[in-house]
Amino acid sequence: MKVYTGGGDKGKTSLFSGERVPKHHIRIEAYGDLDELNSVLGAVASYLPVEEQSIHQDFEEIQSNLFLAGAWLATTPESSAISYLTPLSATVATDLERRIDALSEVLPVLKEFILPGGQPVAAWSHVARTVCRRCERRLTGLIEASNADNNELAVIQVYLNRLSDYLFVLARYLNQALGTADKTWKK
Amino acid sequence: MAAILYSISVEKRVWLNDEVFELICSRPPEFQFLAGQYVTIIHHGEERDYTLLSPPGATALRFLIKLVAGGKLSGMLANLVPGSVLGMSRAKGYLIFRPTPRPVFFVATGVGIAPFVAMATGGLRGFTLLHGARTDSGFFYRQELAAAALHYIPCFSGDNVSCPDLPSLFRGYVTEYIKDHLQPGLYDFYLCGSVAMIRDMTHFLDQHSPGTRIYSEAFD
Repeated sequence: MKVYTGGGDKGKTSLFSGERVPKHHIRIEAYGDLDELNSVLGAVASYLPVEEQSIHQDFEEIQSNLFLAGAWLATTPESSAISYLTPLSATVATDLERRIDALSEVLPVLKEFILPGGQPVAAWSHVARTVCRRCERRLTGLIEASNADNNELAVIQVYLNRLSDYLFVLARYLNQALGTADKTWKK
Repeated sequence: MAAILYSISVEKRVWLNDEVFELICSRPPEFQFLAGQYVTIIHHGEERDYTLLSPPGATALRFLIKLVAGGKLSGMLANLVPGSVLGMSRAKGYLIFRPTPRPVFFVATGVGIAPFVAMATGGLRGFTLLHGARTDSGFFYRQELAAAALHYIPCFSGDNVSCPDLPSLFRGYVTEYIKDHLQPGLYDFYLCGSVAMIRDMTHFLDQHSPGTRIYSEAFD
């Protein structure tokens, strides 16, 4: 099948539910940012040390979950297309919490703000964290604007909140694993 | 290269005209799909996407294949003997029917008719189908489709000398028919065919009937 159709050449695109909307529509902004997050995660993954197998596995799951989430954001809640979507697992957020706890076990307790940076893989993880936070902001805007009681969007909202935390802890974990100490903020 | 998840064996090949044939293959019991989806067929290192012509409940898998000049895979598929084994991916794609209270239009050119055959033979009714072809023999499955559709409109864009004698025939491209006949309103459109058709139809509908939903799949 062709990647392009030219149907978007005049600034509109189709949602998964078929509606034609401008490319700056709040729903497009929301899943576009999710796409950006997934791409940045791909960059982080490309820098991950090979021996960190459990983190590689985390990333495969996270990137797949973000695809599912993107489809939900691309579908209007009243559409019959909803029936074709796959809900995220009910445990996605708690699964991440377990991973955050596991990574945090080897880290010193955080008592001060740290500056984003350090090893390239950790610096990219911080970038991913901030893109994730933007995704969250887009999503809350979409939920408010669509005024819809959508349980799946609520699940995605919690997931993104937890994913930001995971990426923060991951950055610290990777810096430590690669021998770089946290750089704290000095007033 | 697409991941090969299934092996299918060729059961039969039926030529529909000089350049298009139907390939009928075995269905792996665990293979699931929705009407309108496609798979990647892989054979001897070559691969290409083909929409399933069969409805989801079918016992065999049928594909509508155009023999492309210089096309490596279609050339091989055109010469396979029964029993030949092909690799196949999982089902993919989103040109699947979404139930709606709006009037539904299917628009297909050439072998782009395949997803709509799958939907119609799977029991879908009540749609208007615009079927574009350049030759009389290019209106594949027209009897089955006309029986299922609320309105079946063959659009003939070939040489007028060989113009077929079909009920409700329109002489011109599918896009011309829509531009001439569609009243402004809210519709659900499903487009499958060439990039040019999809681009022109999409831009026209955006302007003529804003609010219309459009689902599309383009191929070479």
